Amino acid sequence: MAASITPLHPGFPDGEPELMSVTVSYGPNSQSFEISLGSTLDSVLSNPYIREIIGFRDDGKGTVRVDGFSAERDWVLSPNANIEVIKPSGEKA
Amino acid sequence: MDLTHVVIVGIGGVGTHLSWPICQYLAYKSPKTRLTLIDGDNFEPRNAERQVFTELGNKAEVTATRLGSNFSELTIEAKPHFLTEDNAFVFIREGALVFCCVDNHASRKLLSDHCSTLRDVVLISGGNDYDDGNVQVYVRCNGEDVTSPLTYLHDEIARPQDRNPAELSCEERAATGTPQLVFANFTVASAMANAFWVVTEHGVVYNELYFDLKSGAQRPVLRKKEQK
Repeated sequence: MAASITPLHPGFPDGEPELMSVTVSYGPNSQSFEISLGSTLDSVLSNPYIREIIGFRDDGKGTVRVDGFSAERDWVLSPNANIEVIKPSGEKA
Repeated sequence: MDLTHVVIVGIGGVGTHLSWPICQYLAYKSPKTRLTLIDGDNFEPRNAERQVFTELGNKAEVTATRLGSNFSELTIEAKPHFLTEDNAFVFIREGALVFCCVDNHASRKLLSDHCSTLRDVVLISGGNDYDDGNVQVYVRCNGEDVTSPLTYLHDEIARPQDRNPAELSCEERAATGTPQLVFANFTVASAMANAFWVVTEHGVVYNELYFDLKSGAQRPVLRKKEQK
């Protein structure tokens, strides 16, 4: 659950945008990221860097909760939002 | 918590590894416990890669015999049947603590739905894919959900794409096998045993736990049901 803060955009010629921190969880993985203020849920879930770090296996269309509530993909995230994509249960045993 | 009746449904890759330490624990902690093992499948030579058995035959019966000779303090019984809507209410009654070690979501849904009709029950369900998996803990007390059923937020269980093994032919059951890693089975069994100890000794601390063998990551989650 270590929360390292990782800028998504290494450089901005026109100046740094205002950033906010959000936490993304999927299965055993959970990590915080800094994203632009006003970002939507979809922009986070479709971000290749976040998908790689968090380990999304599917298309990210599973059940998604933001701060414990269901959210649509165009939901505008607030600072410190907790985003969880529900990982399907293991099938075998 | 009262441990008069413990049930293990599914005596395969997870169930065979889980049953021994559960008996070890119960033999000292609660020797009056009745342990029921439920499985309609048979051990076959090909199961030896991941499952623990000393002879071929029905999984519940073979395992009950093996455990019974080592844990004479406990009353261990075998039910050589797949769990179905027709027998769930007979095998799993009020106050039971149930381990769900089945290999299909249809049976998980059946167990979760049945437990939701009981006033007091603990259902600990585990499952794995090749190198990751999860454990869910469903607790009901005095007719109320303390944690959410297995189907909550898990559409793959709420609307299973697979079928109960009781509905499959022997050939169909044999064809459902996919490659599995014995260490994933170990980890699920261990996580289920841990969840059992936590919920019986400390109460509800988490209701789902995920693990990934490749990264070593593990994450417990306590989710509140969304208020409408």
